[in-house]
Amino acid sequence: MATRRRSKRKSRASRRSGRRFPWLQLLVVLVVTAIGYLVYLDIIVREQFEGKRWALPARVYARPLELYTGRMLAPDQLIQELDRLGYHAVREPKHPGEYARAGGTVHIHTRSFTFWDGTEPAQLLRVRFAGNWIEGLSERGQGRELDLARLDPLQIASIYPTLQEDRLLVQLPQVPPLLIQTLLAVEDRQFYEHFGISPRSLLRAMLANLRAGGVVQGGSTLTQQLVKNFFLSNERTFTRKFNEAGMALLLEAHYAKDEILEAYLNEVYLGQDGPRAVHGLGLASHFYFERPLEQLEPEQIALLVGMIKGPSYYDPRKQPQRAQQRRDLVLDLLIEQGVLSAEEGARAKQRPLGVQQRRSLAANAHPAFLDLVRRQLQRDYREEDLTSEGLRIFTTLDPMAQTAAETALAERLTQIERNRDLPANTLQGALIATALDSAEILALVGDRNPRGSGFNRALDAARPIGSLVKPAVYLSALAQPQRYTLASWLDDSPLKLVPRPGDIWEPGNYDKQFRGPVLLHDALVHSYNIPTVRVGLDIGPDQVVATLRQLGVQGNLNAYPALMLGAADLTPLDVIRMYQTLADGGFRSPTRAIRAVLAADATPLQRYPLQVEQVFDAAPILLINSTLQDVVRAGTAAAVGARFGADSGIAGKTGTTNDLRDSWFAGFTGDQLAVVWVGRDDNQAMGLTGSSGAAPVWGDYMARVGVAPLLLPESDKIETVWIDPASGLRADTGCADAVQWPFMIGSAPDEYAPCASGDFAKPIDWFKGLFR
Amino acid sequence: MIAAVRFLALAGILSLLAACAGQTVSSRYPPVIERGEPSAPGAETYPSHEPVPPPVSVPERVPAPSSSAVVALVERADSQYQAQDLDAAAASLERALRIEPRNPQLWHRLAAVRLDQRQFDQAIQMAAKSNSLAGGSRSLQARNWQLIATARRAKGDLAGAQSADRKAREFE
Repeated sequence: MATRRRSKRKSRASRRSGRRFPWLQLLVVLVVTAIGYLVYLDIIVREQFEGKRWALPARVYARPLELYTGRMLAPDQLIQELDRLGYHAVREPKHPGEYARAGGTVHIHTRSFTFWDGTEPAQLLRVRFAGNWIEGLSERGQGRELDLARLDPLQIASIYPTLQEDRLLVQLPQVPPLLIQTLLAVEDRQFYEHFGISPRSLLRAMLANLRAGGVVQGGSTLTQQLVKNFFLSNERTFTRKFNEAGMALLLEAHYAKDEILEAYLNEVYLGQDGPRAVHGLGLASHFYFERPLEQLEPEQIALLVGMIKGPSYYDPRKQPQRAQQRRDLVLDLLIEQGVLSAEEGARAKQRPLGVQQRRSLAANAHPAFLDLVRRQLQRDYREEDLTSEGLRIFTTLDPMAQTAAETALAERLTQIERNRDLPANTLQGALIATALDSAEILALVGDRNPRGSGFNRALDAARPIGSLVKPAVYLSALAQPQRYTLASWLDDSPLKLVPRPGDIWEPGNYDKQFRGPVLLHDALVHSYNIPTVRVGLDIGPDQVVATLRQLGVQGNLNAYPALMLGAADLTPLDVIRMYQTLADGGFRSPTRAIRAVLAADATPLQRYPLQVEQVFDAAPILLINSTLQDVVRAGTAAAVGARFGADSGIAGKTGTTNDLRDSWFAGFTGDQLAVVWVGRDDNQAMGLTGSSGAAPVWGDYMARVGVAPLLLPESDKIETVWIDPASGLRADTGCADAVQWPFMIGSAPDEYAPCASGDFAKPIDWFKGLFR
Repeated sequence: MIAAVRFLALAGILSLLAACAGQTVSSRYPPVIERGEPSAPGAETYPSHEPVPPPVSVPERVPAPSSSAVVALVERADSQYQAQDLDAAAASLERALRIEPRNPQLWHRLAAVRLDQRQFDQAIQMAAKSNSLAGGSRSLQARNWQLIATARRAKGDLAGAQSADRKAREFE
């Protein structure tokens, strides 16, 4: 069918050319040689036009913001998200992409968007806030209450081939008639009449060129312009002109006018966004006005069409006056041709250019996170598919968390350098934050300058983790409740080891003190080194390595005694894996940066589903997590505890390495885990401990995203017992400083502390007797 | 106390019956969560967001009332499940889990979907995750152990299935 129609049209075209170029018959010989050449051109034209017309970059999206009653979200956070998404603040939202705020209520006209699990319709939402949470969500038209709604996701990047062309494809029916009228009026009045070239304008151009002694003017039709952009280089020679005309004729012979027009609308070059070339009116409309083509006003259409002549010369951001003159010229032309009435034209000329502040997508706002996404994608996709198939990649990035992380790291490092008289910009850092229970990466920063796309410290800086390893040492011990409990006595006296003949190792504590006997709980809370080494050697370094592997650590580990103090070079990503398993109660989930990949037509290609694997019994993990809460409440991270209050229940661990080269903090709240590393790229000492470097960055981040209190889950294998911290024995009302510690059932000490008044001792002993 | 135990046992049996009666395709998928009811029987133990007392620079976090969003997503997952669109049902449940990551009912339902997808290992793991969050809900733990038994049997692990069945009976 298609071939038949095409051949008919071809013969009509050749008849036409025969009629209009009688002089061609005089050049038969030339034509015969030209035929071969035309066949060659024909192949190119058809292949290009019918095959993959455009390489579409993959689009990478952040997570969509979910709105539902009861969600923690401040109105300002919603407004920031809407601004990031390019929604316009208006008095009365009428079109998708507009919002209005009135006190504690925000009205949003959302945009429709197709996700991996269905399409979210465009709708008019009413979001009511009570303080910092959403109190009600309804659909504004009928006042229907809604259970939940999703905003369209922020596009955070595009993955390009080397030639960075970008476009948003439009189809002809979507394009406003006024735009087409304007385009034809300005660029090619005879478009629907000619057959690819317009001899009249060609002749005019040739005369001008002869007079000037070179090519100065082009009488190009839209078809020729398309051919030029599509197939040819930018040189201005007569050969090229000949090719252009030939291909234009061939294109017209094969394809309908509307197909050519649609291709033109998507191909035409309209400006530059950093390294990214903006092609097509669809993308240009978003790039300059942040709205879809359908919503453009007449003066905006006039500006876009006017710019085709010279997108950089008439750049409305850099040359607003020149652009306005050009726009008004186009509007005059429209009035002259009766496309606009005089009043409409005059009104349009009164309006400002209406160009939005530049919000670059090309600059790849979050290079460190995107780096991780690309590494994951490269395992599953070929490079050319990523850069040309228009894949849509839905990631886990939370723009609110990411912004908080970038700001927290940059500002705190600057502040530390200033307060401590350190040379400016010598400190570096990395931060990764994940959602508890799903291990989705919410934020990832690999450089204090978040736009710096060099060394990605979050993924690639493997540094000694210091005391961050200790929870794994004690977890190995507490997994044997018959040998170790939180109330076990450990030995904090000088220790001399000979790991290899002639090699003597004498670990010390950070404060150079020896405390003699200390409780296991306190050794972890205050991060004492010597007892940790003793426990690790007792359990066995191999067992500690096995525990770290179970927790998810992938980096290189050596079963040496020094491992107990963190002599293991791990990346922040590896540390996140380890603490994720702790925070999730012994369930290991692969950290995920991608939720789904869709094809350009929204067919799901791949999902990256939630996966869990129980690698540890929940009970010993609970003992560790409870102690990590005490680290924040009263231990090495007490400053964090003081900042967020005792009820926040935050669990965390500081890490510091020899000579204060690396400063670490890993900690989790009720819904997030974050790991921070601070150090110097040249690995020199910087004078910061985990609590003075990384922990404040962590605190700044959490303060920005908000802290959900951490309540550890219950377990039927755990009992909570009052303990006298001086003796490590059971306490009762007689003990003033008694604390509650968790124990695996049956492992708590039987004996009562000297301080115990005995009120409870006897009845409980009697009760126990019943079961013996 | 005894009345409460009886009630829980009865509720467990009823929900099992409902599950068996409602479906011919599979008896594993849990019954629909009723609107207006707490989405999880273990809701008391589910850590709701309590206010943080003196937050220095922390945005205030106030308790979230029960989330109709999660109920709506579970209903959606249920109808997707009925239509045998298991991928979609799993996606809806994952979306619900992002809202309430510690809701053991959601983990249990996701385990049931994975079981129907013959992803036995993930079904077992998710049922275990549900158990780790189930707190005092014995009926839910019983159903999780039943699910684990079914998955182990399907994998050919008969001894494991029997021990899971015994666990299930302990909680019934």
